[in-house]
Amino acid sequence: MLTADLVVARRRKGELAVPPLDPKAHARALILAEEILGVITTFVGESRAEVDEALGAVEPESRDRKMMLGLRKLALDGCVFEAEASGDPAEIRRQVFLAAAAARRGHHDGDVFSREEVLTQIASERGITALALESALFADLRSAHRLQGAPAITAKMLLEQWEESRAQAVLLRAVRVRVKVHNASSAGYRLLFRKLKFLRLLCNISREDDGYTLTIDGPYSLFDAVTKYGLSLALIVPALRECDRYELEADVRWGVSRDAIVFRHEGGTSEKSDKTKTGNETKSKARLPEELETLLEGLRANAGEWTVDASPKIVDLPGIGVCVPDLALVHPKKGRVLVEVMGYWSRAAVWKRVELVQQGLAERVLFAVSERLRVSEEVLGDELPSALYVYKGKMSAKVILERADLLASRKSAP
Amino acid sequence: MTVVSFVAGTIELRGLPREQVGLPESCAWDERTACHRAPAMAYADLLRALHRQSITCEDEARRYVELPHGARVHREPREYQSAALAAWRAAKGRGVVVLPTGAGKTQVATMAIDDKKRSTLVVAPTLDLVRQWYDVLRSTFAMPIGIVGGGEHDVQPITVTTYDSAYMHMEHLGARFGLLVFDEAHHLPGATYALSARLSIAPFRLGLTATPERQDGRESELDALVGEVVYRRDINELAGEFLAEYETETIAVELSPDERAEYEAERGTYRAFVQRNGIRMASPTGWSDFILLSSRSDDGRRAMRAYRRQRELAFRAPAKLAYVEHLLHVHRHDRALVFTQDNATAYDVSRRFLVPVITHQTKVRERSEILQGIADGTYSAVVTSKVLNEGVDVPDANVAIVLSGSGSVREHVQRLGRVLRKKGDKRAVLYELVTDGTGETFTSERRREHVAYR
Repeated sequence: MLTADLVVARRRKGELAVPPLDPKAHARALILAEEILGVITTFVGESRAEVDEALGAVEPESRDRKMMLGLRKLALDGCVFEAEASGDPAEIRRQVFLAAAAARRGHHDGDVFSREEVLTQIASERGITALALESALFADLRSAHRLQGAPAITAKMLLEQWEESRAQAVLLRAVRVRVKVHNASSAGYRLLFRKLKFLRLLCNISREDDGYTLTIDGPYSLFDAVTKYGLSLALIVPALRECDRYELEADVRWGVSRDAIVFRHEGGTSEKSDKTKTGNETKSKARLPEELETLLEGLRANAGEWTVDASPKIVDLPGIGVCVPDLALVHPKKGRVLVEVMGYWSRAAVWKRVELVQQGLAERVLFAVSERLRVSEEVLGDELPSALYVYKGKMSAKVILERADLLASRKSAP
Repeated sequence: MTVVSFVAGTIELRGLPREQVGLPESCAWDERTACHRAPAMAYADLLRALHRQSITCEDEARRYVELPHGARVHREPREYQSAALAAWRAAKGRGVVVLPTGAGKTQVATMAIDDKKRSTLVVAPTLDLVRQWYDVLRSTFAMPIGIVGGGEHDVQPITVTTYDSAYMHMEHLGARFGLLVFDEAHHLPGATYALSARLSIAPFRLGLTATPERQDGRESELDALVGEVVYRRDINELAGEFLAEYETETIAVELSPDERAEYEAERGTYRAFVQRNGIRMASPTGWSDFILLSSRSDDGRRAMRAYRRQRELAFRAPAKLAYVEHLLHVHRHDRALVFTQDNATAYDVSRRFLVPVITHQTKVRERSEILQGIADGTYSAVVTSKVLNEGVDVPDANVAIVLSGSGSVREHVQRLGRVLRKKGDKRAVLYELVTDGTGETFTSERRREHVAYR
């Protein structure tokens, strides 16, 4: 990952952005990436100090300097350096330093310490030249480690890696992230919430016309704007990139003086597929799993007065948890019933939903669970607004509609 | 049921209505989780507030324990160590004790741990110090001591860690210790490290330092994070009485004509840039202004290179290195510590004079072998950059050679402290080698303003 100080970002009207390189800058960057990889390839087998020095010769124009440093960092991150096996340097040092200390102690006033004498003596004891002894003396230092191989990437790949990691590195200095997320299927949201939970981040969720806005920070953020969660916030970027579309707005502390500034960035899989458009089908549609696609057709064929909405919803019970149903069944008189397909992937996840409902989830949700998870429908009582639907083999659209009617007749509608 | 729990460096209070009154000021309602939340540091205040209102609560936060037993080894405390402990106890087990390096701050801490008998986390600036605390605590308390940092993660009722690891791990460790000891506590104020104090529930806190003053003036933050200064003795009040006497000798080394010419040229480039941009290097922000401006243009980067080169010439002047050989010869039967400004110079000195070197890259085993060698007289000198700077015990060292150094007052007192350990009637000496007519002379003069030199 880039470090925050290596990010080339643009400040404009009090905001920070990492815009794509213009064609000219892109061409210059590609040359730099080639030069850097070229040096590294040439210096395989040499010491880190020598590699560093040689890379120092890649001197771009002033405006491209930071870009060069970033490319260099990413290229070096992909390199393997190892200490050369030339005896045990620590043992050699011990021998040399002990001999030198003994020589000095044996001196009388007026004697002069001879470095060469000590080195020659130890070298002959070890059966090597004094020169070899000197170079082995600190062979285990980081700067003396040898480059084992060059990273197997092209200049173009290095540059892409650099462009992608900029936004992530800006977030290392973020105190809070607001992100508007849109997903055509629930999988993207689920991945994101799992990631947030794993990273122990907290969020506020609010509904937008087209998706949701999540305000993400950490527990301590309630008291102070701290960059402590910067690394965690940066680590959600890969999960965001899996979403169809996201628009991110982060409060960051930028530059040497850590000025408060807003950073904006957007992306997502649909954007990528726009860029590399092949024509026939948009990616978002392809993301609906087959099982759900089949169910959707069945529901639409039997819906009657129900209408079926396949855009995922987020149901949030602050302090308890979040669930992301896959479908919404909407009836003009009876209201809304959500459906989450749990399938057979996790029994624990089913118990979490049960808990969510028992703690007072105020939505009507039907959780469709495969019988392979060995859960009984009776776990959730009739007085609750949500229910389990345990199915054998494939989900039945007819049963789901029946259950929706049943749930809709219960009192505790939202 | 009201439940208090520890969540990632904060305290969650569940079971009370949002409108609940009488909670500590730092406690706030958190919409995200629908509960009250406070920084972990407010733990004791929060429990007191609940108690005042007769609200019974289930305390799931506290995970620290009473130590199975206290100290197994008791060293007779010096009068000022007992006085320091009494002052800290009177302040309800919170506060900073200021004693000069070498006066036995560690013993004040072991006495405090013995007094409270609670799980304790000791936070020290470097891995060397962590190791040293580890040794002292293990021998004093005769129980397994944990280490977090430097690739180790072993948490025990008494654990030692670094400031960096404390910042990274306090979210997880914050409930497991009832007493925090901050060694060299002047490191604590500042946006990052201070968080480690805020993310812990420990009701008892002890700060130890020789010099609480910081160049950025943020030492007042220690009051909230650890407690006020409860006891203070300066070096003049203790030198001679408990610490070895010392003398200082400043040696000015001249540059060769060629070096002088190069030095003047590089310094000219750097000074011109500074003047052109109206940077006042003497002002508190001078240095950061220079860094900021120099990174923005080729001109500035040239100035930065010139600055580095002239400094390097002054610090690594050949005549200076030659004088080091002389001093090593004179003190071949003593125990000398050679201090350099940076690691590169430390390795240069080691290669050139064939004396052992300790830097942050030195592995634990080799480091303790070298320190042992100095202690038993096998080695008469060791060179280091900054790792030995703060309170690392090099027993019986009686010569310090400061080959180069910054003008920071704090750093220098601690360096001086290295040779201040009293050993019989041994008189310690500190040599400071400066290059004549360079910026170093100014640095050296500034050091003299410190009380240690008066």
